[in-house]
Amino acid sequence: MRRFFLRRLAQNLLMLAFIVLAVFVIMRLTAGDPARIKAPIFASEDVLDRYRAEFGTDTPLPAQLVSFLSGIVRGDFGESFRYQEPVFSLIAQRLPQTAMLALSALLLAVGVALLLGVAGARRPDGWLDRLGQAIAAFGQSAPTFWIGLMLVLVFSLGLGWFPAVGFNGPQSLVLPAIAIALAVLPADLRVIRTAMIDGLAQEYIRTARAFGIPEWRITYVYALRNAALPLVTVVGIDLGYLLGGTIVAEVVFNYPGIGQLAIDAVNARDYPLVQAITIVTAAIFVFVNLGIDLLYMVLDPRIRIEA
Amino acid sequence: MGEAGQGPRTDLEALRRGVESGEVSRREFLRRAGALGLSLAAAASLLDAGGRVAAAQATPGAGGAEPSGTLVIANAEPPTSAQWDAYSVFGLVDAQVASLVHDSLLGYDSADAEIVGHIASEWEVTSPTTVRLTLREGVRFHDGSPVTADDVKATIDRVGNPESGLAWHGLIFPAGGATVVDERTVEVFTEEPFGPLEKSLAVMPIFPAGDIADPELFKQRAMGAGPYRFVSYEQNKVTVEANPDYWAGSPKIQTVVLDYIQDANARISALLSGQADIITRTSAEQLARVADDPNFYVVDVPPLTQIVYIYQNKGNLAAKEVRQAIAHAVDREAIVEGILQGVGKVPYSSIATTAPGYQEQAERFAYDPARARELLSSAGFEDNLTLTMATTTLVPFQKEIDQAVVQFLGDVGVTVDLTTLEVGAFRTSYNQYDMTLNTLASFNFDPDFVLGFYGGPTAEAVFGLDDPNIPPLIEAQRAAQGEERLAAINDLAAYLWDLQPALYLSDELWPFIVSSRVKDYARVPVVGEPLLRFASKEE
Repeated sequence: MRRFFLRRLAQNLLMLAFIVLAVFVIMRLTAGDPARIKAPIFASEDVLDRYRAEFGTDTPLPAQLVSFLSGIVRGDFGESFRYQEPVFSLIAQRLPQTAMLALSALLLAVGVALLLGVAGARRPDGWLDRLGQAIAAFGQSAPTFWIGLMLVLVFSLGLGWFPAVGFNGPQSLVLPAIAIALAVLPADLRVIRTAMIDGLAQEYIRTARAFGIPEWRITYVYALRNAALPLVTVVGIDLGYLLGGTIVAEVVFNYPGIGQLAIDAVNARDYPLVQAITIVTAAIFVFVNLGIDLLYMVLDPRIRIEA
Repeated sequence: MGEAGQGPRTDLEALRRGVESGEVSRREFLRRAGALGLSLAAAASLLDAGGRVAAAQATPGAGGAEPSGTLVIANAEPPTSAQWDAYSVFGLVDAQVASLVHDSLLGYDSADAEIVGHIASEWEVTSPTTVRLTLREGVRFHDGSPVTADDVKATIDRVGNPESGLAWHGLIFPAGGATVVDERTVEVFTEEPFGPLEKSLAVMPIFPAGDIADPELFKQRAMGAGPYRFVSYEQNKVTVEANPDYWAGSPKIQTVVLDYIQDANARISALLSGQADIITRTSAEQLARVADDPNFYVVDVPPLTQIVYIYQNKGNLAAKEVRQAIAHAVDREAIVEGILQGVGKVPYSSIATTAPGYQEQAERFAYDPARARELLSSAGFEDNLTLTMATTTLVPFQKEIDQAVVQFLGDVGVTVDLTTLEVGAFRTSYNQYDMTLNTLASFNFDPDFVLGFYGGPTAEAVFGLDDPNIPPLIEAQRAAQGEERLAAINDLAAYLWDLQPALYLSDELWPFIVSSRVKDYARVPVVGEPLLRFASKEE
């Protein structure tokens, strides 16, 4: 198992190194000189040269790459061109907000998916099953930005229950979390429902019933444990979506998260900030998936034995 | 929707008439004007037609009640950078911060855009290149230190230095500087006559000399002598709070937050839900959301701002006939009415219709596809002209406008190769395309600012233009005064109108939607918010 972990860790670190290089190259291949973006359209070449010197973009690309990589080794991702402060301090301000939003959305999605998925599996075509199918169809077909706008229209402007934009405390999480959760809920719900239908039809469940074990125990302990593996897989996929999905919600709700920061950084060609955000989010994604791989082994002894 | 700032102006006008009729004494006028939130300087300037020396008797701390409440202004853009050297940036929020945190030698106290004394209590234009100013006593920076002649000199010398590399040099203030005559008197000079000098002095913030000696301080905070003190810049929100020691009295609103809300729907939602009090530079769609709603009113006092197609005046667009043909081929009125939904005004000259010196030119370049084809033919093009255009989302409805122009040009046999770019790439590479939609705005309420783009290296860089007739015309309007200057501005505008180095699509109106909780909000035609200190907010 230790060997398995170390092998996966090495693979992930390699992938991160590739991402670091790719983001450096892609940012510089994209048209856009940060100096020209910062300066007014009529700025003279002198002014532009001054900005280039300040940003370090006046040096050859290899020199910029060396400086970038040596900075990473030292844990220094540089200073934002636009905000003129260390990029990690900017990310540290925003990352907890995004994590809070993503986690809220994930808990909401998984919670609702569990309730409706299990209920649907126990009574296919029952009213809870139909409700679940309807929510899943809606969540899958309606884009996040539209759901966000409708939520604002009804619950913020209409009923005045929640803030329309920004972050003013936990109540600001509700609407964006619902908008994001609706996007990831359909897959979670279907996976749980299918896995539970499959699980509940197994012979060991019939045996358990024959032994007179209570139905709630059969459902939530025996069947659900076997449905946990596909659920963990789909949650891993959810996390990938959440990193992108929160960006949409952050824009619609003007939520001060890392997604908004990333968009601003890309528009301003703020190389250090874009690079750092990409690396940090990629690292989160890679290591969360590593964690999920390890969780598989905890949940399924067969995988542990193979490893 | 109501009218901007009509309440206090109407009340003040009534008061002034009362003074003229003898019903209200001058002392009573000043007292009641103060109660309406006007500084003594501003009130006194209303009494004296000349206005220039009247403010000299103004005493500090005469603003009225204690400031209260928080005003949130939601902008579609953040500050252009996190440093607060106003002379190096041209963004909307940069100008808002500068106008709130800093004060200038001259300034604006009323919506009629009359220039009055601020840090300078008196001033006199002593020659075409020199203004002599007397500094007001009792004006202090936010750290408590007095604003001195040395601070003024350091600020002006810096922007007047051609080697400074400052973005404002040459546009707001040309080569020149300041001379300290005595501790309360300075002379600001320019090397060549500069007509907009007083207008520029009304928007040029005066910095502490210490900040100019150590520009790193600009990265930490903005510190000036203005009505608001800089508090913080966090997560794209700039927060300022009332300066109780402002020489003309404390502002009425305690805290102002300049928020950045990128998404247009989120901005209007913030306004409708009460999370924002003012949203800036709104679109027709946003205006429609609050039409006939008594909870909001609209203020549209734009700076001199134009929506134009910037041409590269070379290659296929080198011939004047081709540029004139495009002017005839594009139905500008239809674009303004149909796409901008009336939020704009079509000019018949090369400067904004609200610019001093604007005159409609005899040749209107009206929509006339047949004439466009004639001109193209005379330039040697018969359905064989292809132009490149880049589009993005920099200007409201840019993609729709660009598509319409492509269609109009197609109707006269001009093929447009349209490329869609991301905003950042567009701003970097617009001048690699024959024509691109952009906006040109004046920061000092003077057309010289924009007209200056058409001469020298800037013209070459922005328009691919090198016309030797233009620089003398720019200099001529800068050297002239009064009516002569307006005529000289028109001479240059008319020359450019005939030359058509750009397609002058529309004025940009900058409608701001304001919650009716905000009282007495008014603007002058500059980018910042110099009149915000007179506004109040009902909680």
